[in-house]
Amino acid sequence: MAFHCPPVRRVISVVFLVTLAGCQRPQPRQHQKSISVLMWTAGEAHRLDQQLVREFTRETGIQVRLVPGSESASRRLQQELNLFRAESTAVDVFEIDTIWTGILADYLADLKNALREELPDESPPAIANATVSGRLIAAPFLVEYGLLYYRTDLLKKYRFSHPPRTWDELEKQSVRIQQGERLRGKSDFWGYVWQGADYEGLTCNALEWQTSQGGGNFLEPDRTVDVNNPKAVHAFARAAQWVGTISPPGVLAYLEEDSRNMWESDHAMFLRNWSYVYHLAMKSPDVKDRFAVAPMPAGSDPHSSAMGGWYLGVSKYSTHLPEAIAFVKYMTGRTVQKRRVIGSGFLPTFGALYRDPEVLNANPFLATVAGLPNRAVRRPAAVAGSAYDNVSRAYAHGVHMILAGKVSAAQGAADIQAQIEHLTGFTQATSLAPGDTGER
Amino acid sequence: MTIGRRLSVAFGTLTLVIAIGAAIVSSQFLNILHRARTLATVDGKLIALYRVRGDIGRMRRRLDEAAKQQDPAAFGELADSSRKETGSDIRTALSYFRETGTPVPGTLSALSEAVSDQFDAMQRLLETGDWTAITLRLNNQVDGILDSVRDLVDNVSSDVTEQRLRSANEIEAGEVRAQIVLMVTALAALAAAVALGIHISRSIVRPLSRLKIAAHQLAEGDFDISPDVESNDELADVSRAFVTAASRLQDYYLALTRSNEDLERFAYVVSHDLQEPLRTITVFTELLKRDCAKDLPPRGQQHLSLLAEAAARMRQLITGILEYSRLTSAGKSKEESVSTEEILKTVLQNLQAAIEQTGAAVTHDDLPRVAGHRLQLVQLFQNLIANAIKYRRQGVPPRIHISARAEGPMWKFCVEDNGIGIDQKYHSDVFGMFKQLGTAQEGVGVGLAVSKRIVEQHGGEISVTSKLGEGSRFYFTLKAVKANRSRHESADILSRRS
Repeated sequence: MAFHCPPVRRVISVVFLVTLAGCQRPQPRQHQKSISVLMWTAGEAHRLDQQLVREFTRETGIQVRLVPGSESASRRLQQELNLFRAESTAVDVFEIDTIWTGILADYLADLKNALREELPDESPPAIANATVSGRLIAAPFLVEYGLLYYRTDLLKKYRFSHPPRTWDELEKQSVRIQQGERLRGKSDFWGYVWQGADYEGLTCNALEWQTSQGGGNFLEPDRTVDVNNPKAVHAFARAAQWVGTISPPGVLAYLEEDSRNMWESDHAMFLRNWSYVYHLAMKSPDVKDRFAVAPMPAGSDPHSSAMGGWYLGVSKYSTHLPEAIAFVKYMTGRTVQKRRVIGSGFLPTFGALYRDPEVLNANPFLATVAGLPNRAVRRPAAVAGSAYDNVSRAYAHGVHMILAGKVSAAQGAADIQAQIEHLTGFTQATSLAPGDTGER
Repeated sequence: MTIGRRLSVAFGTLTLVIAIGAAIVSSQFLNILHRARTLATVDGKLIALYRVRGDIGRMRRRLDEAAKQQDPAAFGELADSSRKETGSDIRTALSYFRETGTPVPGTLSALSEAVSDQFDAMQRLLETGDWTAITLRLNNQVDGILDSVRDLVDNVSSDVTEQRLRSANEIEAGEVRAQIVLMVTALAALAAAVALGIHISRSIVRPLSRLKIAAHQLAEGDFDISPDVESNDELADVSRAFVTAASRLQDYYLALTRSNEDLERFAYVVSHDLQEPLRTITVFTELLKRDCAKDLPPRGQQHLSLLAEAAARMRQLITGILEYSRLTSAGKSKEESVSTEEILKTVLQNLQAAIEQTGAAVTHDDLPRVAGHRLQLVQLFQNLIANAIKYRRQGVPPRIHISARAEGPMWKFCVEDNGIGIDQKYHSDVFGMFKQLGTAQEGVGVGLAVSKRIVEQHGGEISVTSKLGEGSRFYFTLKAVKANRSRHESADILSRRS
């Protein structure tokens, strides 16, 4: 019977050595480069995106780890800001909202040189929106435009040859069809539904009214504020008239979903909404075979559509910059954009694709909105920088006051002007001083 | 290894085996406990989600009712209370997920905001009084949320069921594992205990019993012992010391025996060789007395008579020494069962003349059989009785009584007289050689020494109690006849005594 103590000591020393060896062992070389991407890829609609990511890996050998982002936009922004402020290298590629370009510009790498050849040069607004201080901080990936949805059956029924090209036509057709339908027993049928609640959606609507009237943008790229001008006032006043006449009083509380609810349930003739609604409406039993889309109506200026959607940007803290840029270049490039519009119906960022026979074959409606990439009006996110959120709120709130009839259009425009100047420190656009009624 | 070390290792091993088993079993039970707790929180998670689903469904139904009534106050109130209720239940559900460390499903994390958004939107629509839009929102968006919550509940429910099944399986497996470990530990402990027990008893009890046998051997007088303890522990030490002690004892014993034998041979040779010249002296003294006594003057005759007397004394002394030395050499023969009653009879016959001459009265109790040599015992009794007669008081006829009583495995005899007695100060000396206390009497002083020798050779002891002028009592012990050797003889003794 021999019991020895040494084995215990031996075990301890072995453990110690192994630990040391573990410490000294060099990190295994990564033969395969790998990047992390924060983007929304869950759900049926993004099945193709997942496949595209796999194909990217197959083609380039770059592994892509998809980091799920928050579903809520405001929380998603917070999530991304937290990562950037911590100078985190955990995520290389970020999916960012159209209106965050100014807020996140400082944290994103310049893609201008890298993407020079693959830029959708036919959609300057999308590029301009992502160009901050001469740097291209993100590339457009998924675009949304404001569109006019209308009922083809009713248009035909009331013998209109074409959907409204101008706001005047829209008003006229609305009045006529609304009256007609009400006479036929639909007591709560309306001509036109849109987004009138006091929120970002109203900013988009109002911006479309203002720009199509030649009333400028509430923040111009030259860092001036342009709201308090007669054309803008006119546009606001016209919209205010709609409330309670061709639009339900409730429109002042409508979000995208409310206006869509009303229109899809046969309670309205016209609907202003984003391009993504097309695919939803195609599934709605009440309207699916009885609707079409048109560009937003024009005012004294040509029509304009607000632009929304998502960009892909590369973190300047990324430790895999070339690989991350390669990924952005691939996902925002012409080939992928074409496959996405054909496969998933996502609107392409390249204007030329709206005339591509294959694309049009899969999405015939795009022919009617082919001018969108160039006619899009961008919200002034890039120029407003981190003040965008407050500026946009002030703008929407001021317009809402006008729509609700609490202030006159002129007073409201003046209030908005003053408020935004206060928020940004920018000055009034010189070309249009108050009282100046000159055409633009 | 020493015994102490061995015992520590044995108990240490047992403790270790049991401790390891106990540790494994404890960890298994902790695992089971953890599983059971998880199970409880898993259920809590599901219940919280059920509650959220119920909230939203109820809210949707009630708000729909209120929208049909088109009562803004009732709708607003209902919306407020529903918002609070739903919000708090969603938070509870979220906390269940966060506490258990399970990833919060996307639907649930977005739910609070989504529900809140719906309430905000409906609140705004309520302000404009657009009941159509409110109803549509309830039908489309709120229903959508409800659907997604239903999906969530279904998913989590199936997850939970799966988890519950898994936990139940793991708990069962854990219990089985714990039982197996318990069993293995018990068996291992048992095996270790048996192995260690056998080993310890072999390594301790065996040498110990060899030592015991050796000790008994030594007690029997066999010095040639070898307990043969081969370990190197305490018992081996004891064994070695024991062997050494035995061999030393043997050396002393042999040396003593040799010197005793030498002494006895010397005494025999001396006394035997002395007899020859003494016989010559005696013969020629007798011849001188017979042939020339009448020619000698009275003074010469007196000298001649003293010479004859001295020669006679010398003869007695030499005879005594011879007797004494013969005793030692005779003691080696085997003992037999002897009736002391018969011995006494022989002695009384031998002493008939002296008894008659002195008018002595010799009485005795029933006397037993003892183990011994007949002739020596005759001499013992004869010496003591003759002594009692010899040292009688002047003018008092000697009364001598012999008695015996059992004392353990021995018989204790007593020879009592009414003689002159022995002074207290001589009690220790009376059994020495040539110690003669009286002055005018016969004898050469070897009687008691011989008696002592005989008693001791028989394994007994001899002693005296006496008072000067009142008589003496000589006590001596002799071995009783062993029962197994002569039961009927013992029975004889008993029957005779009763």
